[in-house]
Amino acid sequence: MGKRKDKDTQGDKKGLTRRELLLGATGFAVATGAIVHSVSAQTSNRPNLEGKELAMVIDLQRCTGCGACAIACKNENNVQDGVAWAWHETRTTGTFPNVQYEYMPTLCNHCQNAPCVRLCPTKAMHKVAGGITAHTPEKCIGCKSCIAACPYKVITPNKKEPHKFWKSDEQLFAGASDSPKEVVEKVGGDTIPLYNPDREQFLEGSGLRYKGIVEKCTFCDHRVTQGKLPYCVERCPTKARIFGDLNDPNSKVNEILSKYSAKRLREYLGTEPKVFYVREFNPATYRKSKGSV
Amino acid sequence: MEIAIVEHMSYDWRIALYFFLGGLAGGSYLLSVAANYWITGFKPFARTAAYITPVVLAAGLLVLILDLGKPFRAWRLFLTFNAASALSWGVWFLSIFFAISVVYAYFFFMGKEDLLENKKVKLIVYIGIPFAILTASYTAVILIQAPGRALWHSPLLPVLFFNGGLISGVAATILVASIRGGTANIGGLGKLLSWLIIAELGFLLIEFIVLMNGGKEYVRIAKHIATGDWGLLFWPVEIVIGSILPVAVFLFFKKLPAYSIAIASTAALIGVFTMRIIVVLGGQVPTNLF
Amino acid sequence: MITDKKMTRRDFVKTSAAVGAGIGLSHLFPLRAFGQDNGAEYTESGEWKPTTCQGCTSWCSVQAYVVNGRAIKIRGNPNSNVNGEATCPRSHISLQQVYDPDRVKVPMKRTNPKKGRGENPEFVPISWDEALDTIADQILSLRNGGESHKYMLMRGRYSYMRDILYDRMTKIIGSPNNISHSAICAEAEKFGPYYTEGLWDYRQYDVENTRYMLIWGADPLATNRQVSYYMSVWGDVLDRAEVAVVDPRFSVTASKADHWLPILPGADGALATAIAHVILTEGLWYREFVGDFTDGVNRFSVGREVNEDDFEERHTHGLVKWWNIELKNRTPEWAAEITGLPQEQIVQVAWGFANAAPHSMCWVGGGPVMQIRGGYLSMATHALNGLVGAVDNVGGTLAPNKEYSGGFPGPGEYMDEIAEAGVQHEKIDQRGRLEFPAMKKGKPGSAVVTNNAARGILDEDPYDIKVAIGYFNNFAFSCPGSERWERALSKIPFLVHITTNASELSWFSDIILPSGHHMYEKWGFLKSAGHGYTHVTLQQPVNDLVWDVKTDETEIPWLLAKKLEEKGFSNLMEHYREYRDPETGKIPENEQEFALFALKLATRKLWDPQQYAGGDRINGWDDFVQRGVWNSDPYPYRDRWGAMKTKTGNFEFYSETLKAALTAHANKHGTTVDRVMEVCNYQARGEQAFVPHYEEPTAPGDKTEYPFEWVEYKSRLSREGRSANCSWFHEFHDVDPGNVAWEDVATINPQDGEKLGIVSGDTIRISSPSGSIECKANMWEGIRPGTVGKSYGNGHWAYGRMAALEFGKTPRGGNNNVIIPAEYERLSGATVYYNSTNVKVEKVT
Repeated sequence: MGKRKDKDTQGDKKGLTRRELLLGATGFAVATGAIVHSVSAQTSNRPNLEGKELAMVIDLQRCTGCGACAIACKNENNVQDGVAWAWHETRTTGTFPNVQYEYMPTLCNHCQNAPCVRLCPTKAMHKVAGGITAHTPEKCIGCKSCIAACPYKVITPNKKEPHKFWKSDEQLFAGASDSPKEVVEKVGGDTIPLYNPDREQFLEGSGLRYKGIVEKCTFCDHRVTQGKLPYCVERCPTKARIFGDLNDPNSKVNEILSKYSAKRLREYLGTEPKVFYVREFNPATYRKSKGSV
Repeated sequence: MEIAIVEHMSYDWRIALYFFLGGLAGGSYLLSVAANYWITGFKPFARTAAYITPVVLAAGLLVLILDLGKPFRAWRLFLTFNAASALSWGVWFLSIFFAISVVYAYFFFMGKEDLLENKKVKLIVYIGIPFAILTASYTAVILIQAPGRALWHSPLLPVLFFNGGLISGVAATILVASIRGGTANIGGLGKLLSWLIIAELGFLLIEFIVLMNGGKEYVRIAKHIATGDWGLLFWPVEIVIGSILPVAVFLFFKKLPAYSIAIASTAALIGVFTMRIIVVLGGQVPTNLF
Repeated sequence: MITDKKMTRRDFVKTSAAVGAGIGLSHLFPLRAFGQDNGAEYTESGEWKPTTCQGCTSWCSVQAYVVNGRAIKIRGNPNSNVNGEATCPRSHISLQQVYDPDRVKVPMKRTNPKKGRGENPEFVPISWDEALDTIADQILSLRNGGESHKYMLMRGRYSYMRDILYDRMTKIIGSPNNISHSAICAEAEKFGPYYTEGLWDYRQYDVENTRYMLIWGADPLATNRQVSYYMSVWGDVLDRAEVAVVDPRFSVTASKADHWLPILPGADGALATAIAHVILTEGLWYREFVGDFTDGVNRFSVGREVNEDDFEERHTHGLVKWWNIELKNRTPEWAAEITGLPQEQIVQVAWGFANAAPHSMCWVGGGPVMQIRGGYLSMATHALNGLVGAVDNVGGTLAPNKEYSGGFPGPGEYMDEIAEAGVQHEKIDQRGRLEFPAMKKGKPGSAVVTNNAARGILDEDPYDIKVAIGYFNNFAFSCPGSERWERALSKIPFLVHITTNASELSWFSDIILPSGHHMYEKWGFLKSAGHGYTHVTLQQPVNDLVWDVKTDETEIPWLLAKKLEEKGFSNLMEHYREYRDPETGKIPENEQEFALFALKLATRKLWDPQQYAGGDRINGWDDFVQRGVWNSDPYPYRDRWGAMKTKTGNFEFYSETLKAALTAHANKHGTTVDRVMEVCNYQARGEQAFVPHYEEPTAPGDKTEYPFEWVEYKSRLSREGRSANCSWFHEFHDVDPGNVAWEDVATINPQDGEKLGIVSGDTIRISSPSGSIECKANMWEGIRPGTVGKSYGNGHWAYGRMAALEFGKTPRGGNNNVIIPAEYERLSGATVYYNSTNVKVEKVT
């Protein structure tokens, strides 16, 4: 894992030289090149995550499938309707009266071997310190190949202008209720009244995205770099989400992973996800029997 | 209220169309080069096919760029190179191929076919050959790079795409030639088309055998295409109209009226496009994460 | 762009120049990125301020993350011993409520005099002065005409500031008609505990110490009460305890349980009595609580009566009577047929439950009790807690801890002759009549029969209502038989609604007064119990108020009192002036001061060190405001053993308390208890009326015409029906098992779907004797064949533009209360929600 990280941090430098070569070869306008150069010069740097391999363990026995993680995520990251950084899948199996229901919380797996990073032609999707799969909005051309590449359905495109609802100036009751736009004007915030300014870091200095690009979970890098847990971890009412550093032998995640046989989603694809699932959503007991024929 | 359902569809019909046009361009270029230099019987088609290539490729590029969420950032593709990404490579394949195909068509357009025999020119044209092949098939590698999509993750896919490119390139040439009227030996081209389609059907069969004997995701997608919603497109359009019809027309009928040639070649084009649609859209049927 | 903080000023200049050089890339470099000091570390821009969530009746103490007077995030209040930092998903949806653009922001009045569902009220904005002036005139004209009793106050959700508006104002005006929502909440849930252990309240469940939980029609991981707390420990509870869930629907809790008992709706009494039967015949009862046969030999065997003298009870009363009257023939074989459950499962659960005694519990929710014959189901299920000694015990069911909040000054001396005469009239909900014993805490006619007020108004029986105010309620949506309310409300000549959103009830109103949001724009307090503690938690105006809204329970009555005083009736204002600041003795001079002083007054014992009575030691008002919550002392287990507030002081299997109450009610009407049973739709006759017993389930709707049984449940994201104008409610609707995102679905078992020719996604019409609704169908194995399930919360035709498909006209999905007929559990006055009706299902083509 350490090796992988070294490669990541160097990766940007290497890319830069190659890019410079290409610049010469293609002979594109120097001004354009300067922009790209200056952009890539500020490569994502999260110094306090150097040497860390961040991971999440989701304890399904603690999870009750309430969705608070995903709602809180939208809240923290100013995510619009129809887009999700954290999501879920549910499944009902069996036939009445022997029925089982399961809930699987999902989020970006921050794969060590991330298909989205491999396929992204502009390196908008890239690995940064801590093993985080980061996305640079300004580099994103919206080709959606990361979405195609991701086996976990956790990257979403902005097909429409986000939060468009809040730009409407229609009132329900003329003079007695506000239009969405007026609410934002009166309450404050930016585009949405629930705008969280804390999210501006690492995302072009804006807590919002825009039409055309994709977006996904960042492991709350703006919080994690400050020594705070990802917001979904904080808000999970069942304490089902446990976060930590795989490179720290004494971290809580390693403690749990040593106790249970952990499962990762679609592990056979070799993506090496950093989100682990332990225990069962329903650990029910049953009456002992050998069954019958 | 706007209902905003969280969904994760990435490539839509526009990408399928681009894949189709890219393949077609590669196919028509190869046909033109072959006709011009090697197969004298097809020589009359060299010009038509040479024109088709850059026109179709330009259309494909346009579709590709318009599909981008941020089309005005397309320039970034040339300034960043991700060696791991087929997409990143493809940008260059496409650009170089497009440039060569323009140059190549230019000689026909200016009526200077003689110059094509010039050694240096010939070298450029020959360099175009691998780029034509790459352009017609790299798009399949993009799909292969999505490990979680069973339908896409097949080593046969580039072959299917490339062969499909040849089919569409030949079919398009036949179509244009038949519209422009009275070209001799169109039947020979038709036979070539038929054998290419038969080869494609063979590849498809192998593909299905692989899928049906694979893991549950493979079986699921195979059933989805053969018997599920996509079956409505697969059997009648891709197989019957797109494959059996042109083969039947070109292989079993000697004397053909012009319109039936046009219909049969159009059917073959539809067949290839349908195949792209089914692969691109059908391949994205969500997989249960449990 | 990645780390702006790494960007030097030179980079900035360079980049800006490059941008200026061409290519429209405004998105790349939004100026606000550079507004901050580039070298500065990111720090949280807001602070966490305490308040209380009322998305359900858990009443979790929470903190709001406030940035420049704007709350943007919610978490549990770590100072609370009840929920701590845990807070359930619906708490976050409150954030979408408070900034809902469709909220009413200034008072409005109706300009279309015609009232009805099809009549657009044509609301126009008016000033507070005009609104209050009109209301005051209406109230005074009633009083002047000697009709003060024709004033009615309807209360929905509330804080404990409620009595200022609900009780004091109504009484001083001179009306008996303060109608609360309690009967559409879960009064029948309190019935069983009261008539067995003398507790008219909801229980705490000591889940962290229990070894077996038998849960009846409750879904504590999704809804009511202490959802946040129970969720936070459930993963550990499952390590220690076995959990069985009795519910025709596979609930969230069933998905996290060991056993699912998909009982036929209403058959809970058969299961409960059969479990009791097994416990007694197998000798599994908890002897330290219940006692034993004098010689230790178990004489309980099928069909055989037992001599009462042979059994010596300890903290219980009437076990042998119960056996002789009810239990002796209630075998598992018998119950299996009635409940639709396998006999082995019944026996297995009975053994598991009793073997864990006393650390086992019956958790009784609304499901089995808010039924036509639910009173005795409430008793029968709760009586099992007596058999295993779970009551007041470790790992069992607990009462709320003692807390020391106080009330407000009494209204007595401010009630003039008109008022004194007015309050003597019968209440509009007809409580206390022969067919409505409504016996709260053993007193006939003491409990509200909320949903029957509509009938009282429609029939003008006992009289007509002329002026009404409703607050924090929406009876035209939330009460079963909602169509009756539409007619009743249309009939009231002058109706005022105090509300955040123009809801279905507002549609029939003459004046709408915009109310502050309970979590962000209001002073108030709430108390609730869980985790072995009671907490008293403050609601605080954490947001800067940007709209012209007022607090429902304090500011509005003050402003109204002021208006009445201006018009010559000063009693109410004089009363309110008694609410002085306990710290300074200052008399309130405006509505804000009044709200604050009233709160300080009512909670004084909690925060004033001089008046300390117990629990957390809080150092003054400011300290209380900062903590946001006071916690009681820990739970004193078994304190109530032998000291229960029943007639005998013991846990009554033969309820002397109920016998006294029923006899008093019968005597009041000069009749017999048997007759009371008959008019209340109960089958019990004679002694059976005083013991927990089985009654045949009954529901409106002939089975040949309406072949399916209706199963209603609550969504875990529904804030008591008020979430529908919030997108997160719809987007995450599928976190309720069986539900679908952005849809209102009814769940149907695939077996039934096949018979009906209905598949998932079909639009269906569900009809009952009281009405019909349309929604989508979802085929789901988690619903018992023969039943149709659907969660409450969708189907608004008002409330907002997301809640309704077309505001004022077309509902989004269907409101369950359209098809649930207005039926009652008459002994408690509770409205029937479960096993409430039979329905038919048709595909809409």
